[in-house]
Amino acid sequence: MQSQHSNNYEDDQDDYGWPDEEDKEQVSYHHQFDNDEKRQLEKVQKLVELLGCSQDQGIAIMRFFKWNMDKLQNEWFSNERRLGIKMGIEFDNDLSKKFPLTMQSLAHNNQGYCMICYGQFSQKNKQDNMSCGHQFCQEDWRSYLSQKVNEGFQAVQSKCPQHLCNMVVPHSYFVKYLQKEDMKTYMKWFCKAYTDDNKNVRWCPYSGCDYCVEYQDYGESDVSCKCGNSFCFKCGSESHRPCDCKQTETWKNKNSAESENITWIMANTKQCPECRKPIEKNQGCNHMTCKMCSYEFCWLCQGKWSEHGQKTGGYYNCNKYEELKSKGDVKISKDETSRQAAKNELDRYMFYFERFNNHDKAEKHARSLRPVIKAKIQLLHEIKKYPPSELDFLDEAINEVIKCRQVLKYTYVYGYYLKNQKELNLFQFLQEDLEKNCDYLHELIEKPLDPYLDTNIVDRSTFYHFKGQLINYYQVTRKVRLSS
Amino acid sequence: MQARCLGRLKKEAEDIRNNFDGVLELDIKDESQMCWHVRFRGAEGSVYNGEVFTLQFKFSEDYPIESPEVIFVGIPPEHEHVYSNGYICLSTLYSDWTPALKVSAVTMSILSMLSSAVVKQKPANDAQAVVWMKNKSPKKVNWMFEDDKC
Ligand SMILES: [Zn+2]
Ligand SMILES: [Zn+2]
Ligand SMILES: [Zn+2]
Repeated sequence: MQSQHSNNYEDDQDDYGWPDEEDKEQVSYHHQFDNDEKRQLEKVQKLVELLGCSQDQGIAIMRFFKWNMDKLQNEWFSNERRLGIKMGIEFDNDLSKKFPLTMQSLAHNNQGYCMICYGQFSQKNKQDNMSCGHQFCQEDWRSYLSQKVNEGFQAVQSKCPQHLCNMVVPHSYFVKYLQKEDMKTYMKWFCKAYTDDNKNVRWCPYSGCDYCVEYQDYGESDVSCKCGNSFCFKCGSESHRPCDCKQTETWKNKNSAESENITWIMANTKQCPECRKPIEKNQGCNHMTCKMCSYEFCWLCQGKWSEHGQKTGGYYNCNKYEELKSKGDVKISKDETSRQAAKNELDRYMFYFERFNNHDKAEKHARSLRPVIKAKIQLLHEIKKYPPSELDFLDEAINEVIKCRQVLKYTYVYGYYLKNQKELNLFQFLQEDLEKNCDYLHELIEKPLDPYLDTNIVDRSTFYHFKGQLINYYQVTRKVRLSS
Repeated sequence: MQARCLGRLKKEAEDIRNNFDGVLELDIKDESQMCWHVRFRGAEGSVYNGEVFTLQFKFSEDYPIESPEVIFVGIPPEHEHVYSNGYICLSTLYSDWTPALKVSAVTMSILSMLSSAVVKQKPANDAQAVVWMKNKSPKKVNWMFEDDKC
């Protein structure tokens, strides 16, 4: 049964025949906290050199312009002073006139007292002030900043302890005064300020992932996260190639509007086309084998599976929707025609939705398989002593299946909205190619790996054969997947 | 007990007795000195002319880094930012608190808030709001500040 899948297999394991296309989808990624700080400060450093300002000022300016250098260069130079006051890096001298109270903690008015603890400044109780001149003792600075940090994210925008002063407490003050846990918390807010504001940084949308991705080039909108998932940088949701963000949203809205009809589909479990026993799909690929009668068929079109192989001439039609044609000789009333049209439209939608949903489920199934495969890789290494580098292909294969399923899912959304028949034909051809190969790959990777763990079997050729097949298929799907 | 808090409260009490004589009357309610009552009269020429009000300040050990809890006790003034349970809608007491503020400054800004009122009027949602706020510290209420005065 499996032999038909190995048609492209070549014995030479190192020559897979395809150029490595991986680069095309790799975009820089980095860790949530550690590197953010460095990246952030690197960018600030460039600004510091450009403007000749301090690092503290650089951070405030970058934040104000949400890390957008173009906007900064357009607006900063003509409005330096006004903006400086607004972003709290330059003291607003009008404040002293408007609010005499703000004067009380200035050096010449405070009579040597700290206006927070009312203690006298001394060698032991030293004063410190930002450029506004409002003096407070160092111990109070520490308490003040500690409290701000523990209040939450807004801490990065903390102002001078003097009531009504417009100055924002700079980064270096937090660094100078905070200790241990407080400092950790502050760095969390510091990094968050960067990732939240920066249009080129997005958090990975997959649950349980703590990475964020920084994106440089606006050409391609899909980015890969270090966690192995990819997502659309523009809208922040899962990858939806070949659809654009708008199409994806329209589709999602349609799905929720049609949810009643969808429930109806879901309620209908399928039967084996041969023996009519109800069948439930619990695996990823579409190749079904009825447990009762062993009949092999395609889940989507219910056709014989053997007709789906390339060897039989490539008959594969389960990705193409064909409208039911009404018989020409029957007279149809106007009412009937519009009813028929509505029904056709619903059928068409159902057709696409079912396939979309099918790939979605298969994708989830593949995701759940990932930890299983990781564990098996570990065992193959420990029990059979395969070096890790020789086992990477398993990881690659399951990731490829996930990516293929994701693309396939959205090809049905794309197809649903594609009205040009000529384009549709070409598109369906590509879709079919990917779907077939992905199914083969998915089927291969779903097979239990346990036989390869048997210590009684010394011959490794079956394992290498399996490896060759897998690699061959994921090279094929990757090429098809990236050729769109 | 934080030395900062006690030292400061002691000096603030002196400040009120020395510099606000006849304007603010201070009554320290408990031995630990953490609960103060400050009495003042409605300003001459204002709609509260001559009426006597009492503000209660409760301090935590982290005062003045942390803001005090400030409410009216006794009969509160009828004002659009003062609820009948004595709670006051004034940003300075909550999000805009800074440690350089002090009891006298807070009291004076509340007095000036009252003085600028043209009519005596309760907050629009007074009855409802008082129910919501039940058993909640005013510092834990989600205040919406409508304008600068508020
Ligand atoms: Zn101090
Ligand atoms: Zn200041
Ligand atoms: Zn998108």
